Amino acid sequence: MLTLLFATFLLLLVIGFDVGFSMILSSWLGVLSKTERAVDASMLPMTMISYVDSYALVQIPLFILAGELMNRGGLTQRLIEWASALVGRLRGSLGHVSIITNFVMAGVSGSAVADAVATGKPLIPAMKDAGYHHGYAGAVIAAGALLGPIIPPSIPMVVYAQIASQSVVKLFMAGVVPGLLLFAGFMMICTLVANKRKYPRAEVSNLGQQLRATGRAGWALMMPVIIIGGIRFGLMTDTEAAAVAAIYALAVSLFIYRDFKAGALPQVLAATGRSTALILFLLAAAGPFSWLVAESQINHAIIGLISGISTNPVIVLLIINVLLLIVGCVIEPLPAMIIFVPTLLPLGAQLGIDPIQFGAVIVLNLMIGLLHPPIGLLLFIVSSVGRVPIGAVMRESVPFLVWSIIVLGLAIVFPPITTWLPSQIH
Amino acid sequence: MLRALRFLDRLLAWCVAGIVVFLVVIVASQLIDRHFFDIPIQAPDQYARIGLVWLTFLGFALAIRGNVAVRVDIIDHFLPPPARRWIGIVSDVVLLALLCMLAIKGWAVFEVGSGQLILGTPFTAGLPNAALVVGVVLMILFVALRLVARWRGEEPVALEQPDC
Repeated sequence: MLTLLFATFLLLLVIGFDVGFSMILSSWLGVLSKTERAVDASMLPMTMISYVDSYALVQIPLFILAGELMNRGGLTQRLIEWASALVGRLRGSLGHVSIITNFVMAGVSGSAVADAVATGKPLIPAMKDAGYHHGYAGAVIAAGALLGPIIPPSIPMVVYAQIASQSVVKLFMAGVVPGLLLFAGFMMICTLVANKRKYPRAEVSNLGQQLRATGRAGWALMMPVIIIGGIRFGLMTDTEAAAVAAIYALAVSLFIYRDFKAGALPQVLAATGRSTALILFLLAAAGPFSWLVAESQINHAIIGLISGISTNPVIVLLIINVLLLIVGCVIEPLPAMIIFVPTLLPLGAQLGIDPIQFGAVIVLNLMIGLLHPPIGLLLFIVSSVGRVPIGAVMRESVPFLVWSIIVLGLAIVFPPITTWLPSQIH
Repeated sequence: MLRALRFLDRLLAWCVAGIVVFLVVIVASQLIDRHFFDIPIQAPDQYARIGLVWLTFLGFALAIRGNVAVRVDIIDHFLPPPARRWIGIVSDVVLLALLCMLAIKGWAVFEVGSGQLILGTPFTAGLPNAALVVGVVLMILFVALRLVARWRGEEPVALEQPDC
């Protein structure tokens, strides 16, 4: 039954069937071929509904809405201007601006794709015009956008929390230190590349101009403060923070920056609903698939296989991560997480690996998949948004990719990187 | 026929937009209730969960209508257009069979849920369960339309934004 399940699933994936429907169809065939302890196919819709019937998941559409409103309401543009004023004197400063803007936006949207489109549209042409290598312009945006799902809030962390029954807030906090390490490393790479290639400096802003830019971007800069501060100090739950972020972004866009027309709101809301459904339907489809995987007791086989190599948690985590990096070459991060996490969780538990560290490492690993070929989604997005050849973007993203893998290695070998901050929350 | 379809597209987009507004309001109401003044809604989290289930299935129907999907497209780069067309046609036929099964089995799940009250609300579990049936029926319609278009030799084009 299990062979049929995976063979059908892989075949459907290869021919380009929708990932969610591939899981449901292979589960259906799995149910039909199940002779021992047979189950009715009504198990499929039942588990599909139960997988998305969760209050913790409500924050996904709300954070997506906040991100959409930021992009359309001029908040992202103010952040770019602010970052430009701040680091304009640095050589190749547009690279730094890309990373800083994405870093701040990561504190609101939680979605790498939305961030890449929002920052790529204005910044890639600007970098190209300033004489930057075209591939580098795309790569720096893709790397910056990678921060989105690592720095809280993070949609993949919410999905992991749902699958693994863990605290969303603790998982959010687990992403902070790896996110800061990625940010620092990316900034360093920008500096090294810019100095080596003698990229131009932007117009230098004096203190007054910097303060004015900060004032103009103040409303946008407050968003991550409200969200993370509100959650950290117990003023609101993570889901409520998402609603506050959406309402705040709408109010600032409509009444303060006035870059957004109320007439465009229905389209933004419908687009938000559609983006959300793409994520949640995958989760729903994973319901019957995970149920069958659990029923087939493949967990025991995988645990036996990996435990046979080593029982050292660090070695096991390294093995799992190498496997997931390979998986990330053919399956997109979210589906990969939904498919593999239920199988890997018992292994982590058996070896005493902290589930928060386990979650943060898996999310970090799979998000790196957004940046590496052949299906690194961010590479394709920046290539399309900035009209840059995909091959050039792939070559230029290598230093960012290498640093991301180093941070992943650090998070595996030194658990406090992901567990210290969550342990401060009670 | 075309006018009816256009009306359905708009209605679906507006329903999805309405559910997102509902979610924002119901979640924000909890914060207001705790910090400012009483809001007489029992179990707002249950309402939010029902809304989310509806958003999942109606939103995905909207995604199918816009030809937006999460799929691995490596094969597209290696196959000639006629082969891609035939794979698309066969995939849509298989998908229709799968969706019909989901609609039938989903109806059974809806009937079972209709007898179970959701605590704190006047609704039964049939309400969230109905979302799957309604969503799947819409998906059947949209996939059938896509199949007809493919049969005529038209390549599905992804819509960047829903039509509101």
